[in-house]
Amino acid sequence: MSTALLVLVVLLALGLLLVIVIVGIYNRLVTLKNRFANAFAQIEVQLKRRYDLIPNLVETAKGYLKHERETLEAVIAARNQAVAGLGRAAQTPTDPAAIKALNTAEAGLSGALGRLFAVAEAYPDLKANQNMMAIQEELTSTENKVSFARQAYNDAVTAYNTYKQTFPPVVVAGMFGHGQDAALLEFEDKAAIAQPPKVAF
Amino acid sequence: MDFFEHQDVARRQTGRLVLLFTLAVALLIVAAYLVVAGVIVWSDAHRFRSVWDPQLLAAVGLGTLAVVSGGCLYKLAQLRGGGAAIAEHLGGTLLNAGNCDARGRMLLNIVDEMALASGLRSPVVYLLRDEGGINAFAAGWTAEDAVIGVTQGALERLDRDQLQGVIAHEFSHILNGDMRLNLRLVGLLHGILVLGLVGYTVLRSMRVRRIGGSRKGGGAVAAVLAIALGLIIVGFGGTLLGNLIQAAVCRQREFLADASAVQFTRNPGGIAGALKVIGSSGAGSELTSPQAGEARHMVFARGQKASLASPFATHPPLAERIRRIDPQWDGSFAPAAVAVRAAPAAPPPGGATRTAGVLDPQRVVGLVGQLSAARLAEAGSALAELPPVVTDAIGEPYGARAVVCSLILSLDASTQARQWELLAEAEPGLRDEVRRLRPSVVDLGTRWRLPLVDLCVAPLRALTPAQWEAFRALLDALIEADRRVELFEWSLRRILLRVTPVQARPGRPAPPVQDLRAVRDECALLLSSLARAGGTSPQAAFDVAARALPLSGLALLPEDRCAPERLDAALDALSALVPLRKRELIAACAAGVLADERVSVEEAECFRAVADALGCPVPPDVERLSSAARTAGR
Repeated sequence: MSTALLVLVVLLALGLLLVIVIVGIYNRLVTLKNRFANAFAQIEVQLKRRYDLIPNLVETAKGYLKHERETLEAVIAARNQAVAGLGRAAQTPTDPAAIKALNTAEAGLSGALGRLFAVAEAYPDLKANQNMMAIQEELTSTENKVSFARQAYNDAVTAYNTYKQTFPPVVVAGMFGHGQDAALLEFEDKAAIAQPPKVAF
Repeated sequence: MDFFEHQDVARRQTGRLVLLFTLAVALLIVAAYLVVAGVIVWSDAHRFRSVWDPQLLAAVGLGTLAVVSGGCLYKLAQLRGGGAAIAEHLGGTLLNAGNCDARGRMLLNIVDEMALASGLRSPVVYLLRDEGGINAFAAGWTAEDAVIGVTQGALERLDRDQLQGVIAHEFSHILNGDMRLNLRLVGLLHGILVLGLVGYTVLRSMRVRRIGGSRKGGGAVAAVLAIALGLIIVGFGGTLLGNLIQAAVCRQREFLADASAVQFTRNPGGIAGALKVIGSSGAGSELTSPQAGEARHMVFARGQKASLASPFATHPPLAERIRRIDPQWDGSFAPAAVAVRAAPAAPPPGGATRTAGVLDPQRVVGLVGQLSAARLAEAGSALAELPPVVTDAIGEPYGARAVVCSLILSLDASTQARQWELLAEAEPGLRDEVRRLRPSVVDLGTRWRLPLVDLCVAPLRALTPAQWEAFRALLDALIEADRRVELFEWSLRRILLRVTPVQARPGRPAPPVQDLRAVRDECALLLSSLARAGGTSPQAAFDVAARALPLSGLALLPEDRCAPERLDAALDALSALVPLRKRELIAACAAGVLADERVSVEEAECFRAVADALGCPVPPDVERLSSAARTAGR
């Protein structure tokens, strides 16, 4: 009888160990997911500030770029798309599709802004405008902050994805609704675009 | 009682906790044994030989021990993540100036003021957004990984004075060394609670098996079911015992924290008001997170409904806590229209003897870990006078990095040029930010240097481990740009060395050292370094300091043996000393610093960095001592 009891006790202990390990993995997955969701909140603040600056930029440029209406409209359109993308991503920062959509919208905005700055090269008056210079300065510093916050977000996402792919979490992650990898934020380095291209001799 | 004695009491409480816990486990084993024996008698009376069956007791005892220690180890492993892990577990989000509204910034401001006034590095603040009740907690293994958690309800319903009272209560837990005790308690309790969980799990799995199973071995199934039920009963008993332990260890510490909160803020209306709001509001102080049960002894007010008899309560009843703070209280929780203001309180510690006892090392020791209302008010106005650029920058990690870099930049033109290059190489954006901030930071003067570093600690802890490593490498490069480490640079690095990003695990604390003789060489090195930092006559300063220590035959070490790296290692070893020995060491350091009756800002900074490395926060009073000493010496 006592051997039966002993077996029972051992089984109980083993079962308990398993429960403890699984609960531990689940808690860790939740923690890591919360972390990158919180990191997204940080980048959201900076991106919003960036999107708020762009209408000012266009308003200032309008007076000088009378014949470039299309370029300016493209910037505004791309900006609005990015705002919408950010709104969606902010609601579900754990959804890879939303993050990827934001990546695309951001790329569109960068392209449009790049074209605007390229066109502006031909208008020295615009480049010398105090207002324009201030906005450009603020855009650059906001973009630096965006890239810093993006780095933090990507670090957190990488930590989550890596943990999910290790053993033993890889066995149970799918069961707890952590099957999908989280998406990285991949923007271009826009600091380079805001500044005139360097010419090397 | 001073800082060291409070810490010592908290340490001794840990011994009491272990004793109570052992007793509880023994009781649990007996209970489990009785349940199992009962099951056997019930299933087959013939097989049972006597009430005393050593074999059965051994099996049950081992099983219980395995389960309890498994539960404890699991929880303690999880708690190795420190205060941040707990706050995240309870559903907290990291708060910084960038992601909160005006009330959130007010909270951060209150925390910063208190950190500045007590000399503690600013703790990270977590907001529990889903909790509508009014509550707060402080958690961490040491002051370095301390976090303060505040519920959304507390943020919304308390006014500034009340919130300040609550935060002062939590600071008292940090300063009195209660946090480590509380974390241990969480770990041990989990071991006891887990027994009930096992019973519940077995019961459920049996039910599942029954549906698809056969009738074969029905007796065994019944026995297992009965054991599971028994485990639940035992587990419930364990919960009761656990509550008793929480209550026995924590209640006095809560009274102490309330009293300290009044002393810190000199405003009994604040904390009493907060307690009254808890009593009057519908939401009370309830925590709704399912993880709240094991953490309820470390929150500001009793989290769960007060249905259990008072011996089980982790916190004294609200009414009793209020009455101790405000004896004139009429017992009604109606929102008080007139705040209770400043009963004529005792003079601040040593305040009256400011000029007389300026050079007394014991007074400096008395300042450690203290927070006076006068300093708190000063900290508030000092923070308000910071230029907005600086305030904005130290509110979030990006700017905080730039502020720290601005502090390091050398005055020497060629070194500075090299440092700008390093900054540009590392991150052009950061260089621009430093360029923008440096004039304002430099304008603040030397007196603000270390306080600014302390304030930057909280936002820097929000960096991811990878970002933190990169930043530390940059700092090292900047500091060593002139190939020598100045006193201030050493102090700054010493403080930043101990920054733990919230996503990284804090280092494991070293086992406590009881005897100063075990760290004799380290003591000699520390006193020598301080004496040499002081300037004019190292030998005299060293002798004064060495005489204050109960060690004989300490000798001043030559300059080349006082290298910064060696001092770092020595401080790591010394930080493991038990509180009362630390007091002797701090007293000796203070004696050495004060020996020549002159204390420069650098010397005071260095002393504070050393004390900080030993885990003893020194309020900015020491710098006042320096100016007072200079006037006295003239």
